[in-house]
Amino acid sequence: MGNRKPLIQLKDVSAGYDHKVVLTEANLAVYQDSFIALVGPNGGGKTTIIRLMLRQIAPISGSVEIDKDINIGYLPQINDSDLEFPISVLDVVLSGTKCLIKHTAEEVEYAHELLRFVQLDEFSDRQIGQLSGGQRQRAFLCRALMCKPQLLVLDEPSTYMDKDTSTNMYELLGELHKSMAIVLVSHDIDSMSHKAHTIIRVDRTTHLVSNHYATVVPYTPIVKRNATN
Amino acid sequence: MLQYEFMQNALWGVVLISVIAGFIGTVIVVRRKVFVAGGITHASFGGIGIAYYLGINPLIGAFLFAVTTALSIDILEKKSKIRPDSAIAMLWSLGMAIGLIFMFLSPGYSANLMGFMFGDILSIAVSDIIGMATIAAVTVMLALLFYRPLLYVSFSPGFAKLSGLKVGLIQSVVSVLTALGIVVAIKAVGIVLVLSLFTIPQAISAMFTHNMKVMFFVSTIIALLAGVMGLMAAYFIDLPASAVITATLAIVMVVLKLVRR
Repeated sequence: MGNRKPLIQLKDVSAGYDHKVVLTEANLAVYQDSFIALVGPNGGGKTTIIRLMLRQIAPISGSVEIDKDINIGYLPQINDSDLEFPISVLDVVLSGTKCLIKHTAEEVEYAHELLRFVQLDEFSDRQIGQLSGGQRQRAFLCRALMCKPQLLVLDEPSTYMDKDTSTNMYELLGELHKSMAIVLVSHDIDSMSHKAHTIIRVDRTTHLVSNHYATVVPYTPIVKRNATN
Repeated sequence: MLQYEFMQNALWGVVLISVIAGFIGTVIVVRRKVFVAGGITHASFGGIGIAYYLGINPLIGAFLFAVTTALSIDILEKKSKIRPDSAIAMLWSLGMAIGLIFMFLSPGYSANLMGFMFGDILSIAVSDIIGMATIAAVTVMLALLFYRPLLYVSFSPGFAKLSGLKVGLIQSVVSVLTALGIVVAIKAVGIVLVLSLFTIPQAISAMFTHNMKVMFFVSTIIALLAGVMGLMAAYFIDLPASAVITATLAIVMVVLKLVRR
């Protein structure tokens, strides 16, 4: 199993913005059955790791290898969107696939299928801002799933959610993990520690906190220093 | 009143400007780029002044200034460390200043300054109509054909980029059409009041629909109704059409807001 090819591998990566380095010697491997939580302080580089994985930025040094054949679904932080924008829930979900002229019937059907999966199909014609915080987050989750990803990346999915809603979200993620790898960023370690197999603290570099996954599938430790448990 | 050619031209102008404002204004409003549009509008006066000084068609100068400003703002918003709103305010007032300086440098400068500021709907010529029709046709065609990418890029440029859309290209096309659309509308409603047609009908239609495509058409109809009101006021009681258009739109919006509370 040690020769399995990772979907994404960060090796000794330094990255940052405008000459300000926020991440050094970061190491991370994401396999097709990984469920990784990135935790750590604000400004510690969690979002930078996500941006590297999404190819939004290039590393200053080190390497970021991404399997060319995979689709990555992305759930951004919730405050990234204009909630007054005139767009329906269905169209938000559909925007998860590239479209030049018209969506295919299959794409529209798949969008409805995803909305049924998260119990939002009855709201598909609503304006996006008319949903509650938790519903909206599920709609954006559907948008991330439209590209049928092998890897789902979530940035702070539980922000602004009450406890019930975020529990619901983590149950959905558990369900999704049966068919895709998951990497999520969170500031709170408790609500997900029972779902994620691997917890990595990102504080200017990567530290392995715990790795249940490693006991199931042996693979090379992904940290170089300060590994704790 | 339609037996006069200038009235026929004015009516055609109103129809075409309503279409341009209905479509482009919707995109401006939903993307929250009203201040950018204000910057483009006022900066175009710099081009008008220079063209006037050189004795060429003021519209050409306005086009060049408006498009340059629009694309510069795009770049400033993405790359510069200057606060974008401050940069826009600078381009806004600099354009006005350049325009004013060149107007005063022109011999016999008593140019129709009022016309540029507040529009002159009854002076729309056939050549203006051809320009308006071209821009209206291109705008409507692109907006409807590429509705999906336009919607997705407007809603969330970052996510649209991830899903593989050419966000920069789409935004540049929108910026250029915005600049061109605003400039042709200036002839009729003037620099100071042109934004009313690009924002108030859209704000009204947003009260009734959350579908961007429906907003295109509802905004167009509202702009057209206000435009016809302005035209009639100009013809029958010699009031400036642009002021009547703006006042009509504002009253309709306030009344609807009160009624729908």
